Amino acid sequence: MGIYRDTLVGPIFINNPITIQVLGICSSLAVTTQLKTSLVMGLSVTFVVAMSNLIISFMRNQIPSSVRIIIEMTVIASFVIIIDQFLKAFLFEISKQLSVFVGLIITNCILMGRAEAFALKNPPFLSFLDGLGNGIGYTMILVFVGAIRELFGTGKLFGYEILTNVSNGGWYIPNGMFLLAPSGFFIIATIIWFVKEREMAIKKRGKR
Amino acid sequence: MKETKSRIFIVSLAVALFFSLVVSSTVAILKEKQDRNIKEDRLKHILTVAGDFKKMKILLLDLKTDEYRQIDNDVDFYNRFRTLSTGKDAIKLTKDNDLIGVGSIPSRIPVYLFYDDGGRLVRVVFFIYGNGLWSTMYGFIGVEKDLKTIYGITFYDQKETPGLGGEVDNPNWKMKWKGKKIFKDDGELALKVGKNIDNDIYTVDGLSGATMTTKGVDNIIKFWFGENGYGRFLKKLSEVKDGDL
Repeated sequence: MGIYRDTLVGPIFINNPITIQVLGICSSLAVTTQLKTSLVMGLSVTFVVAMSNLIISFMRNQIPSSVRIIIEMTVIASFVIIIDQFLKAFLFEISKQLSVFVGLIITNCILMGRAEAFALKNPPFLSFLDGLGNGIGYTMILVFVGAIRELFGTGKLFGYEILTNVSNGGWYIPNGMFLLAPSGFFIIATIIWFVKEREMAIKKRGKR
Repeated sequence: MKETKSRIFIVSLAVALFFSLVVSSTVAILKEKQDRNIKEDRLKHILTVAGDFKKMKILLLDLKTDEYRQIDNDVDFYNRFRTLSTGKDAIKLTKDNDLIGVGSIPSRIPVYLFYDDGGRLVRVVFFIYGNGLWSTMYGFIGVEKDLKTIYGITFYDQKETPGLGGEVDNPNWKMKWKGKKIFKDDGELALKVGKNIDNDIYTVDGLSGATMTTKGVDNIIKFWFGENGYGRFLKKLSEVKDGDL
């Protein structure tokens, strides 16, 4: 049982795709200005990475290694199109805000990274869990960054006012810098810093 | 596992076939729902620049002959937009006239008229489009009953740089348009969109960091309210009492 749990939970905390593997940074900067888009983007990536890992792992013994990258891309791209079509049909407003970034999941390093590094070498269920774990790890960071940026950038969360804005007779002056891409860098860098610090502290304690 | 050429071919083919089937069936199944979303979204945009009204009327305006007739819905126009704007019925634009950079425009375009409960015309909404920096921007502009003053502008489809040109869809920027005048009292087209210009009723401040998109919007206004766009129709409309078409 341990291996399944480790495969699922590992990427969420210990081996998080963003903070440790530093994969998928580009999209995590672009879509995190709002909590809602961050969450939808995270769930979309989770779906795509889990499903493509599952399928690729099913086919891993059949895929000729000279064309494996192309085949992986085909699988990933198909799932990205499917999720994009679903968003357009059922979450139209959000899909408009995410615009090109859903399509760009294809180029998200997490997907190819997990397919190459894990799904090609491990059985389907384990690969599925690995995808799920990585997706959740990615979503978690995205939601965290999105929450900080939306809260300080606009004073809202999920579009509901938390810090009453000056323009609505409150006290909070929205800090527009949080909505610009650089702030995404700062927040993610800060998270990575804390994670690394903690890791070092744990290592030191282990030595003693 | 042996890696022969035929094996590579067969596996690739099988994967490609299978996934093309999956993807195309998903698209086919969801098409109807997506089209409905797009239609509703478009209507929502039209209504945001229409303000309060009691009755809506859609005219199909022929830009070649200046004639118009009432139609029940505009779905056909948007569904067949690509054909209508480039096909044999389309109006070819010469290089000098093509401010919006699209080559040709549809010859028949829907115009939306809004009336109050007394049956008097309150606002007219026009379909506008043209090239920005990366994309063609599609939108609507609502004009008050004097046919000179802007009530609102909106873009429902554009792929300009998010955060810069993409701000054409920013509510705060769109608010700046309200009350601006397109024409001077003598009927001369006067509205300008751009940087470092006098802040009077004939100018709209451009988007910072988006010179090309701003220029695109400026050209859209100049084109659609000029002689090749709705200019002649507006003149005609202003001569009719209460816009009683």
